Amino acid sequence: MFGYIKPFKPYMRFSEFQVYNGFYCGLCKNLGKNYGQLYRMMLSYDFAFLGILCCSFNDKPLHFEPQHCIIHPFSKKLCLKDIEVLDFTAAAAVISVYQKLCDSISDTGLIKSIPYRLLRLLAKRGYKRAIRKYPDTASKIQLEMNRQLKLESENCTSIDYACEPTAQIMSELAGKIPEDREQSETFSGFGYHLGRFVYLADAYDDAEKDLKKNNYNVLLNYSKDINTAKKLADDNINMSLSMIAEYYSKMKIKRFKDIIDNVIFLGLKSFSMPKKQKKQKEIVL
Amino acid sequence: MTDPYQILGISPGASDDEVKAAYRRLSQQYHPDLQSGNSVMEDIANQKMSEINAAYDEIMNMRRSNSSSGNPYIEIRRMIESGNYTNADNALEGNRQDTSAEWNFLKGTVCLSRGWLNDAYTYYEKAARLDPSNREYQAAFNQMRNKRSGQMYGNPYNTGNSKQDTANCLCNACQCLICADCLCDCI
Repeated sequence: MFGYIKPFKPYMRFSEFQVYNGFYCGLCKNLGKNYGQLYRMMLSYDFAFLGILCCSFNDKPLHFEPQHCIIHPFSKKLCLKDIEVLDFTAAAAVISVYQKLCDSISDTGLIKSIPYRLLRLLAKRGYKRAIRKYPDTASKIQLEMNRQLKLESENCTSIDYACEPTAQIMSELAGKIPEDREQSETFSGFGYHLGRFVYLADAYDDAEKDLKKNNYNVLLNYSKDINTAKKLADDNINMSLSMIAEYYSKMKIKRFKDIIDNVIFLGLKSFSMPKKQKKQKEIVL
Repeated sequence: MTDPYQILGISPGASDDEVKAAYRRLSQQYHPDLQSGNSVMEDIANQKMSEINAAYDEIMNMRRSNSSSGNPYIEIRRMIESGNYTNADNALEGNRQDTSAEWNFLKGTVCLSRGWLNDAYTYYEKAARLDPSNREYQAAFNQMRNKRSGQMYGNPYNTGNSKQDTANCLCNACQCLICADCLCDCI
């Protein structure tokens, strides 16, 4: 379910790309410092976007600095130095990754889930630390994940219901960013549809696999024909993207507007590109 | 039977307060006690008074049933306007057997407010189909259809956008002017 919120690189300025990566590096360092090395390896680009969103709302100066890291041992990469601004984002990443692990365990059989179980055992300590820092957010995410399991076991047939848990999680995370109530509501709405988008994009990508393996997929509950199912997902994704744009226009963003524009108007839209095509420089709009 | 509104001397569009005010004014004017002593006048006043009372009761009953059972949607609309979606939805669910365009439209609005876009689209579509002459339903459905076709408000990359074409056009005009200005300087 991760990896759908990302920039569209061909249309990105180089400086913007550096900032984006700088956030990713900063987040990675924050995870290493607060939650252990394991979580660093499981970090996805989605949370770099959440980090940028957190910082776009205020105008506290941020410092970037060329630094080494394990993945880039020889060349220095521009990295966000003030990693404490990413505390919330890091905790959100930890909680989500841990819940995702739990989800994978319950999805797979007993033997196949052994590696996940081992990982979860190792991840437990960091997760507990994140819960202690943000108990409300953690319990909300836990609640929604349970709801998702329940919906899946009931073989839910409504697209809107099926999207609800993921949407609510993202809504909760985004709503925490601004302090004043009105903006918080706008951010929640933005997050809701971002989550809805992520769930649908995931269902879209997995449709063929789920059909073959006879797994749960809400789209296949509407139609067993893969093209009809995908068209339905496409329509719903478009509606959610439109809502995202609507909420985004009301958000009082102070900086990184170009980066967020790129993610929202190009990055999200390119979700359906096949993995091979993603590397191409061709623009599909 | 004569029109109750005519008896009270008001239009059917009058507010509840106006109805009450008209009733009070007329009942003071025709009160039988004021005509005491003159038996003929007293009889007329009594008759007039009962007419006024009947008209007032009729109007009030009509309005009450309109807002409770006859047309419950006025109240639901009010709930939606004030952001009370949960109550509005409960009230709508209470009228599940109703398949009017209005019901579908309101249900669609409640769904939209919750972010349930797939349902919102379905309900709006139904409302627009059931009552093609209603502009409100058509506008709501068109908006949803635009969303579904991938329209994103404020998209800065939208090259097919006519706005950007105008901007390009203006840019070209400016360029031409600057070039012309340079040439003038040369000469």
